[in-house]
Amino acid sequence: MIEDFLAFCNSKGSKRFLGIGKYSTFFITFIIFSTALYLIWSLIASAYFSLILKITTAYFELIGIEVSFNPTRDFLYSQGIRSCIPPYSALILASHFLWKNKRNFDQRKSCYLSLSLEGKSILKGLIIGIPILFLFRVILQISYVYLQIHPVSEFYAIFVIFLSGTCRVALPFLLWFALTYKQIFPPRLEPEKLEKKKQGGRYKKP
Amino acid sequence: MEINPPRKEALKAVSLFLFLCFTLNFLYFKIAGEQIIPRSFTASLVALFLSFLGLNAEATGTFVLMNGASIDVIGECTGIFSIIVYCSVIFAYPTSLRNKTIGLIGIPILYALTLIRLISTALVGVFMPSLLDFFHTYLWQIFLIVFVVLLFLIWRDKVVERRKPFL
Repeated sequence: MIEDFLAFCNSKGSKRFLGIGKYSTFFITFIIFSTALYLIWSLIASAYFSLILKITTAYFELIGIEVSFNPTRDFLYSQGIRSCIPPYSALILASHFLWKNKRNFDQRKSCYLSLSLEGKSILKGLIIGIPILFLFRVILQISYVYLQIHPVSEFYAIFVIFLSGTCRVALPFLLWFALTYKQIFPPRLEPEKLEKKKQGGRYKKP
Repeated sequence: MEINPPRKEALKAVSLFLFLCFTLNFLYFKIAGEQIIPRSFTASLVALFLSFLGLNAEATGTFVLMNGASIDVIGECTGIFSIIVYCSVIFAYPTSLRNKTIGLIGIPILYALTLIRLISTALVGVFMPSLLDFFHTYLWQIFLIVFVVLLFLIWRDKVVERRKPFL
């Protein structure tokens, strides 16, 4: 059903009628996956964050520091639901439906490259990405605890903000990039070598 | 014919991206501290747009007061983290300075989208308060990553790839 919907979105008729382009198609697909995953995740959010806290407690016990958390159910849910696993998973799944135009080697102008992820890549992205994001959340929780139990420098406080804020956006983006970099960075000549080639000469390294 | 392998380019870009993310984050929070100015500015804009929509809204510091309820605009609500990541991506991507400068147009777009998110959350809070928590975390999740990716891809397609030579 999704394939039919996307085939319709990508058809010339729909573009004229609905004005839906490839970017909108990707966005709509992401919204669909994101909504579904958010609803599923809301059922396990509390359990997910409870596990994070258990691992954090175990880590501090291992290093001889006694730490205890007494979270309420609402707190567990509110922290668990903010995980970046659902939006990351939605991004990976929606990337299967990214634009698939052929690359034209004959023309010297830009062509839209295929960024579509195939089934194996999507599976790889989810199997590797989700544990990484989970581990990141554990590290973040541990850094919060250090913030509370030790006097910390301003640099460490800003570093924790970096982890809890910027990395929450950067890490899913990086994981997505790790799957698509071959399409985003196709093999190409360095500009000076291309210039020499255009002039019919041989490129000599300075 | 020498060819730059994609992995080498990608690794360079990722290293620069991480460095820029950390540096921009550090500089911003070193300068902005509690972010009173950006938060107050965002709260003022949200209150202004809510007033245009007919709601009795006003901004007091970082709070937006409306119809007996109040919203605290925290640092995360200003969209700063998405903007930092987006700027880092633009400047880490191997292309000309001209293209990167054009890419900075994504910053006001991201900020505008953040305002839309805040305004729609406020409207849900007024008209459907039971759905506020769900809507707030749901929209936060969507805005977190997808617009950074989308703006990056649009910039790459429409600005960078139009001018770059191919094999």
